[in-house]
Amino acid sequence: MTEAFKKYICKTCGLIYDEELGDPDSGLAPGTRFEDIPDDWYCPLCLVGKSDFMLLDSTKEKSPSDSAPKRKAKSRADVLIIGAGYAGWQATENVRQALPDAEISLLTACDGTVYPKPTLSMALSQGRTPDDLKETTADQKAAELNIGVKTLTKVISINAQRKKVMTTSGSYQYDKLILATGAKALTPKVEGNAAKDMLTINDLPAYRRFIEALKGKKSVTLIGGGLIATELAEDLISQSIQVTMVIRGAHLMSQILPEAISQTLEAKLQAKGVQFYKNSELKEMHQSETGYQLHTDQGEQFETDVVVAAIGLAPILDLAKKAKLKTNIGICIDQHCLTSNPDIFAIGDGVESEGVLQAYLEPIRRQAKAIAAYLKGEETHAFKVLPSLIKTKTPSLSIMISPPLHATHGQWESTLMVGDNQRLLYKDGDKVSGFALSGELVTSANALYKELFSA
Amino acid sequence: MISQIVEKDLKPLTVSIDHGQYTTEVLTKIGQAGGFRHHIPSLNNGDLNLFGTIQDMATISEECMSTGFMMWAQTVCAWYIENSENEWLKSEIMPKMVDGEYFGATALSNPMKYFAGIEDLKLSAEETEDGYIINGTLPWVSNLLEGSSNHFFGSIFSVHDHDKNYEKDVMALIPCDLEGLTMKQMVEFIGMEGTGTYSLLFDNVFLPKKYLLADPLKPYLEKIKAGFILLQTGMAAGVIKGSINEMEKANLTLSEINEFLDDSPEELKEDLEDAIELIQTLCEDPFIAGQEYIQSVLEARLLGAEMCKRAADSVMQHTGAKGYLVDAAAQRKMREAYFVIIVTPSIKHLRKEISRLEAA
Repeated sequence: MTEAFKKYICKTCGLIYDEELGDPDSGLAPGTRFEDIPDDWYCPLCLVGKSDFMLLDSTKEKSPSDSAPKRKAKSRADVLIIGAGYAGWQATENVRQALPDAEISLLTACDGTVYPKPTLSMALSQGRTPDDLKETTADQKAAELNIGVKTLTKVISINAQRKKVMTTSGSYQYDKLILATGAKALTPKVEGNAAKDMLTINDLPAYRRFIEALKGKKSVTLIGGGLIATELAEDLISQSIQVTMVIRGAHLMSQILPEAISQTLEAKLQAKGVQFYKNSELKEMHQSETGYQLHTDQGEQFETDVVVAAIGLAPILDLAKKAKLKTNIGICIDQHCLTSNPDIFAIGDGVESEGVLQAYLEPIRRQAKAIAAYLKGEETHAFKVLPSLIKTKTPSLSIMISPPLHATHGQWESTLMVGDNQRLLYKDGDKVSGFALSGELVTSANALYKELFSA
Repeated sequence: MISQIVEKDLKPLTVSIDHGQYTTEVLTKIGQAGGFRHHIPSLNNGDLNLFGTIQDMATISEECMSTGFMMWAQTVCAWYIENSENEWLKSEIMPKMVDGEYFGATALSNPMKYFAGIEDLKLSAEETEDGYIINGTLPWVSNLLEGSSNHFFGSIFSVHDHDKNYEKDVMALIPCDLEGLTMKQMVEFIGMEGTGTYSLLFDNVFLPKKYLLADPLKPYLEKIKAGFILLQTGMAAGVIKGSINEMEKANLTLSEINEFLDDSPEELKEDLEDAIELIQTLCEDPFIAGQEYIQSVLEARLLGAEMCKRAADSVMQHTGAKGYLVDAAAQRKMREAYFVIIVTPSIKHLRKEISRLEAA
């Protein structure tokens, strides 16, 4: 029995060589098997050699992905939002509520999936996969809010004079523009042939990559000792993964947490097997047989399976600069979240207000309200920078903190300490500008916050 | 100057170039008028004005993008030499190329796809003491003339030792009159026919080392990449402008009904101005290192191609049946615009590259 005839396709020009038909023009009789073609034969269309042909496998055709009903973004909007993270969707929701009849459109470079971002540092212990985190698709959310949305569309420039934004698939006019372009996760500058394998986690797609990388692995090294790195450490040890933390500072969360509480937390994490390298910075990351070999500037060397950097965020300023908006570390905004351009607002992790950057959800909610109220012509809900109240996702030790907005001249003072239960106040002279509670004392956090900051 | 060349020399030839006439006459005129010079600092009083070359290329492409494409090949080839460390090429070849006496081309489509992981490298060579013996085939290289000693193209090939062990990739300038180099016109294209486009067969072609452009290759490619891509936007800007011209002409009689179409000449014009402004900014320093800049360059190039798509569609719809006639300018512009869309880097290639950079 003879084997069925096969087809081969030229990768350069797409010409198909069909064994059944041959290529009589170049002397190949019908029925000539591809493997029997002389090596000096060339593609009759583009002259490339035999090696540039590949077997045409008809079973491998891809099926198009299923598509939900699209909410098309209009090319002209009363309010145009760029970005579909928490800030972008919050702004959209609040503006829709304030302006029921406005034409609202949202453009985003990502797929616009709505998901709870804080969950990214605790999903493992919740037993949730990246897919479980999806709440709605961009199209569903857009339908719910009666807005237009265009996903996977990156805005490459803003023309503030003509009030329009440019994307590679056309331009969009706006009356008012809201920038919710966020921040990007920083990575340390590291030498070595595996430096590019370092992961960061600042959105759902990145989290998905992290989960992929984690499959079947036993150890993770976290670069950084801030809030997110600490929460990730807790989440990973809950899954019996060996965690190593390389921390530039002297203790965990040194920018927001007093040393007394960090020490307690560190001891608890250490008891669960977390290895700390403090006052240390990663310098080199090399491929090794099983994973990676890491070198720090303190001379420490160790092996690990996965490396995640969580050393902080940097506001994305590219578009703001193209629109010639005033920027400092973030995009500068006033109490209405207006930028230096009266038709452009900004919201979220990328903004700076009164010299302060806050990458938390709570200020974003108030920013969204401020924008919506202003657009409605109301002077209520003006945004002002307030100290945040943060509950860390650290099951080993309950912690609630309200870090001082400007931690320059004052210091932490312990006012209560009973075992794991501590209360510290941040004092600048006589003024209390922050606090930290641990253990059972966290139950008093809300009252204390109100007492101190809501006059 | 360039616009005079368009009126006097290019316009009478546009249709026959579109039909397949290859001429270096117009290129020589452009060279004499300084159109290939702006982005070559060593021949431009130390001034690197990439945008100047792009503007001239746009002016040419507005009338005839086949000529604009040859101008791109010419100017990018000079760009290769200028950014190399080969003093011989710089003194013996480049000045004549910039003046329009010599003609330059580029065969980097395959290498670009090779570096993007789309194809394998098609040329390989064995290194000898004073040169390289090259074998392989290159499909579709433009602005060439068979056996010409005045035509050169930049190309990349892999180098192996006597035992066929791969050593490295290098880039060199290759003259068209080398022994063993066969040039064939195998196919007929629907546009860009008068651009001197050939398939090249290398059969033990000996290339002397004095033609070497880059070894090591990687840092050199990093250096030339943004300029290479940005120069292509001259073709896009020109063909879009040419389409707008045709649409405006059509609107003299058809404006009432054309109002029902999507992309009006006014809208395209405004978008084109914005895009050109963006390109001008990116041209200020084409050597900025890092992912952010190169991504912006790729996005600008993608924007050019996507706008070509809109222009190609809109020019046909605005002109209607008149644009559907043989040799109508509208359908020529449409065919030219599709070239910008599919020439390396094509829209799909650009999207792949941008999404790769974004994921990094």
